[in-house]
Amino acid sequence: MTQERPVDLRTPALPPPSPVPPALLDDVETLTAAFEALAARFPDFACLTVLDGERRERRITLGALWRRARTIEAALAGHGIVPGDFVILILPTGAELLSAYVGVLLAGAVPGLVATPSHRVADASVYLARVGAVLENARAKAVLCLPDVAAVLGETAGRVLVPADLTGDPASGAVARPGATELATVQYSSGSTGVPKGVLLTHGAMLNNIRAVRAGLGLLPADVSVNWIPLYHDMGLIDAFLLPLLSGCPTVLIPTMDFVREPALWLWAMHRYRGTISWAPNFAYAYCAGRVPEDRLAGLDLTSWRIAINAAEPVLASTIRVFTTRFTAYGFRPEAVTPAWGLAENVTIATAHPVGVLPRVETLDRRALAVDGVARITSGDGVASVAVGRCLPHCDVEVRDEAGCPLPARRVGTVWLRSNSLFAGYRGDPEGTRRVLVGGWLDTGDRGYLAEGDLYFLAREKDVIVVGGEKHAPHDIETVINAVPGVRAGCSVAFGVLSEARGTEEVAAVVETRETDGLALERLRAAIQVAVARATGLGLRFVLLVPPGGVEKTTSGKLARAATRRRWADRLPA
Amino acid sequence: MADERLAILVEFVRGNLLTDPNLPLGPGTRLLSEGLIDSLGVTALAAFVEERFGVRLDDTEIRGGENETLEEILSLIDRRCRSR
Repeated sequence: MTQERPVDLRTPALPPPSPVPPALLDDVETLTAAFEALAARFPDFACLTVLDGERRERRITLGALWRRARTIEAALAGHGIVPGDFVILILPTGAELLSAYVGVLLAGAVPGLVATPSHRVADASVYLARVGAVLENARAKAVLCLPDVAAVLGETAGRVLVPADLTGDPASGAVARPGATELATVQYSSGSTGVPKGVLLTHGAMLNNIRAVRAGLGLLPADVSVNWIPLYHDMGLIDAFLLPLLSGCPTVLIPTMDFVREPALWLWAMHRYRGTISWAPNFAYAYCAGRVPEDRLAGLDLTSWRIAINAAEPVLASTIRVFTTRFTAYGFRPEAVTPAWGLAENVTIATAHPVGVLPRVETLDRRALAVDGVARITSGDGVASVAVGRCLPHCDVEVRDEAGCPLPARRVGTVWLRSNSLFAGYRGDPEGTRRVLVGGWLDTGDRGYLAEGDLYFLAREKDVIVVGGEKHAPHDIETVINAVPGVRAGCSVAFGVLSEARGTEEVAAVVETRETDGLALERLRAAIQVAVARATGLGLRFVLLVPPGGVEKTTSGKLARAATRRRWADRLPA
Repeated sequence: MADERLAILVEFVRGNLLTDPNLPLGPGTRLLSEGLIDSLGVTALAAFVEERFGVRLDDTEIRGGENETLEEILSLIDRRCRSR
């Protein structure tokens, strides 16, 4: 690894040209074999760069990554980890996390990434509860983390290992040789609290998705990937790390918090490395366009950026416009904006807008959409809808009605997906798996429609709130609200409300109370907001306190979130 | 002095963190739990405080019901300055 040194981001520094042939990825059946082939053939290729907010730049060769991974592999074996064990990694974006991921694979174990505490604003106890739930769900044999996390995890987590425990001689024998149908990764990216969902992915599914994305986007070894999205997110681990690395592309990673503190870092990294591809959720484009001071942009050149993926949450036309308008003066090409759609159960994306073609946006008649479930184009005022593209190779989508029958074009329904990269199931939840995997098709729970071969995505049908690219279950927020004194227990609903300005969803709740006094209601509202923020880190932007009976329920007594939302629509934002 | 710093913070939050400039923002507004700013906004605010006032705040110190109003953040800055 080269010396860390502060660099001047204004000075372009092209990564070394890639020696990797595109065929390498076609000839392997497992991630393990892919890493082995890369490290054996191109040990000196400094394909990885980690850049932080202090402008320290660290270049890592495939050989160095491989050596550290083999040391970790040997140390894990010494700590009793055997093939098939689950190992959770709680490490910040950096060389150690990447090596640990590969090392766990080499040991034949199944890695899963979890956010470090600095990524969320919440009680340490809430963080611990969340990690504890993940460890329990994964039945993890070990956790790899830094000493500060190890200290808070204490004895609760089984075997807790820090980098200092993972030293010694590298493994020298043959690495694990799993089959393509064996598990390669468990993905825990959604939900803030409650029961975590471990999405199980096989080597074959991950490689199939990586190959499909590479083909769909036309990614070549000459492309340069620059990303700050967190690696514990599916889009981070797979699209920001594995996709470019295994495709032979120079791969630049930036710690997420450094982007958040200074969004211009993203743009300057694209400039310095002549970045061609980057992945981010919608909010990040709004965040970047709104928070980068003009005086930090002198000399910025974004002409190399050919693929700006916008995925993982609803893609808003307004955000695309704001970002493009702001940065075309610096060479950003409007046709670089590439909306895409996918989910962890398909590894990552399943559809993407054609690269190099302006995003497709249509305006829909509100009434036809709301009343008839038909996406009818209107020339007047309406709902802007952005195409999330066409199917990648080996992916099929169908839009179906509630009975499961395919719907014609422009009819809104549930999006079902079939591909060669579907997940193997949820960890420890065969029933949950059966609910969504039906006859080889995945019920994605997303609502959308097809038109002229393009998929358009509407709101989520599953009760999911997406804030800043992370999914939260309304149930978890409602549980917190129900525990606040003064709330009628079991009579609150939470849901997401799209914010054009923020480019993501904000959280709203309708809550029943017997309280009628104005001051008491204000106090209750504050108590609810503080409780939710403490437990989940989410701000409750809108709290509507209603008398008993204000929250709609089904005849079987279940919460009817959509009906409640419709009932109070005039007192909540659209 | 306190008023001047408050004005600086209000200006920063309004100009950089609020998406709607018409949202009511005062010294006692609970920025996070009322959903005016999100966790990313907290990080950006902490970074601004460090840059402008030279006081390092951890992201996790600003949270629901605690150090989340500008008044509370100013008093946290004061306590940090005194303890140095």
